[in-house]
Amino acid sequence: MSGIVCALRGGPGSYYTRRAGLERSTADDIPLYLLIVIPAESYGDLHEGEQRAIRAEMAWRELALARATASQLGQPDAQFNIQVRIGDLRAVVSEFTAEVGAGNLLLGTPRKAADAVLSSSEVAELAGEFQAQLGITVDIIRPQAATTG
Amino acid sequence: MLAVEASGSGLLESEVSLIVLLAVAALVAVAARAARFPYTVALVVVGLLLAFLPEGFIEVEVSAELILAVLVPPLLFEGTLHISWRRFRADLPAVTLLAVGGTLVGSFAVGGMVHYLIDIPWAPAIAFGALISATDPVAVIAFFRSIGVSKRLTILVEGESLLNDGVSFVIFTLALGAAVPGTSFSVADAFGDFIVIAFGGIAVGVIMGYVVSVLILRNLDDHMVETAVTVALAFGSYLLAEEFGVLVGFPDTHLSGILAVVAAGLMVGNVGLQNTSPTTRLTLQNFWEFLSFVVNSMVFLLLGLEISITKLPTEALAVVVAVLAILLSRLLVVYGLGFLHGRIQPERLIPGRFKHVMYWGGLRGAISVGLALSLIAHADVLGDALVSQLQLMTFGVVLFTLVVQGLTIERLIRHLGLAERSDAAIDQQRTQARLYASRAARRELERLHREGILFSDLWNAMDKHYATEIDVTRETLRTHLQQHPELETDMYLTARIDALRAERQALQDAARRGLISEHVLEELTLEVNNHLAALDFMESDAEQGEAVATEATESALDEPGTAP
Repeated sequence: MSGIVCALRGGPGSYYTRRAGLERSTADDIPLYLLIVIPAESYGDLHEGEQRAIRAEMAWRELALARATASQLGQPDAQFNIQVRIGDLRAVVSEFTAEVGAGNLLLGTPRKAADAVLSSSEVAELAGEFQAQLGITVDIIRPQAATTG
Repeated sequence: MLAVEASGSGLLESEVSLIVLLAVAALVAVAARAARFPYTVALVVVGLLLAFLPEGFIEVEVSAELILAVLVPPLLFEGTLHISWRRFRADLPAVTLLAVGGTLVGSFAVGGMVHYLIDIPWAPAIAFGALISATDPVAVIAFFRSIGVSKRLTILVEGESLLNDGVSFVIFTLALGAAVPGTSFSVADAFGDFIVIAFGGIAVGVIMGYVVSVLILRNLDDHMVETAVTVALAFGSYLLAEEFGVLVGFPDTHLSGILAVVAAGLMVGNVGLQNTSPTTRLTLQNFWEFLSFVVNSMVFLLLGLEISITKLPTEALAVVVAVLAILLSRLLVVYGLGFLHGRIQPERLIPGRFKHVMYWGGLRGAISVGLALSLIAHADVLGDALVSQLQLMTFGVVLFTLVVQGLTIERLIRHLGLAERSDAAIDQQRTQARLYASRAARRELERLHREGILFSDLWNAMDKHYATEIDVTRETLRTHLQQHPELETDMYLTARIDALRAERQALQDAARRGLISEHVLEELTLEVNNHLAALDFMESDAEQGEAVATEATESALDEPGTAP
């Protein structure tokens, strides 16, 4: 396997996906890409200074949380690469996964946010689309699986 | 005899009344908290009961001016101070549609129903529809804060309420103008007046808010004076808008004081507070929180006292019709306009569960009662009987929404699964608070020892006790976070915000000490403010959970991403 991509929103629910990615990456010694996707439509009308700050803060938060998770897993020196990209979720994930030649894509399930647009079934549908389109393994990480694993 | 008078006469009686009402409010607050009963609803109920005391014991003269010009401005100002413009702007289409379109729809729907069902003439019927369309978020927002709901839902409810107060007032005024015999009513003229009154009020608030935020709060570093200036702004923007016509030589021209206060509060909250020191921000927040508590207590207690519950049965049919009318019209507003909004801004759909809360949480309060009381000034046109009927209908609706909807909204929020503050998050906060408190206590003991006030042996013993307590609490927190690792994200956000504020404070200190120039201070402060805005964006973005984006623009980021 050439690499793992974790597609993340960066919210509390991302913990489990990030953790699963770190576990697999360190176990198999393969590169891990933590990909944060920011929807373009909620980002486009901000001025350049704010956009730059958002990209930086997203990356910093992911770096801090990933380091903390790696320490909890007893792998404080775990290697990972953080990417923050703006655009349509499907397009960004497809393009990035192809770009880095990853063989495994991890998606999280939406946390129980009242206003989440994607339901669990829609995430499953999305995973199927990626699998068919990219020809790679796509796994949906659920909180309980990650905590027990 | 206790008397509250807006006129200013009988100062001693007014003072005694104020003291008694504050004491009652404080007792109600304590009892409501102990009984876990909604505070605002408890105040209204106590107010209703107080009205049964022997005649002359409590004599309250609540005027429209007292409510609208004295009590409402500070409530609106405090309500807007903490509204993030960035979040507000993101939902501005929805809020505007609900506040402007919703109030128009509500005014005509309720007006039409009371016109056809209980024969109230068109103009006063529309005026009633307008005054009763103003939603009051105080009770609902209190629930939101205590059980923790999505910030977006809070913005939608508060934003709609803040704007529809002003819109209701404008439609109410126009409808009453049309009620005067011999007045020709034209939709085009009414629309023109509406635009002038609403946007004129907003302009007054924006200009005054800007002057205070940029010219005063930025250049002054005195938390007492800065707080006093915001008080003057809250009341001054209201009065200036309302009396704008007098100042420019057109005494019949009034701008919306309510919208002026809302705009001024938004300016101070989003621009002014960025230019103040942490001490000023803390003082301002504490002061406005306190004033809001006092004024809210007065408003809801006075509402209870003002609602003549014994007279309500005389207009029972009209009250029932009015209650049904507002429930039906709210359906049209929330679900009908909500559907329309979904077509206009599909990327920011209002979820169904939010709509249910917005529907049932559309409580009525101070603005409705204030406007109903002001009807007395139009008794020569409307007639005493109609004024009394409209007032009782208003009181009936307010009472119904506060008691029936107010007592069930929390259950609805929980039933819909919108209470986001989980038990785990509350446990985390509790443990962190214990840790914070123990550390502060330990530092204080160390200071007392260092200054020679606390004897060494005693300090050692006490310090050891606190050290053990801190170790235990830290272990509890560690275990808790292991069990609920997702809580780390909130912890990170809180810490990062705190760290950025510390950076901003350090920059201001450096500028004060002459270590950096004003230009550098501005440049770096803007950078820190952008990062704080970014964290706000991230918080709302995570809440929104919009995993489906509609545009496919892409911009790669070259951030250092590899961990050491």
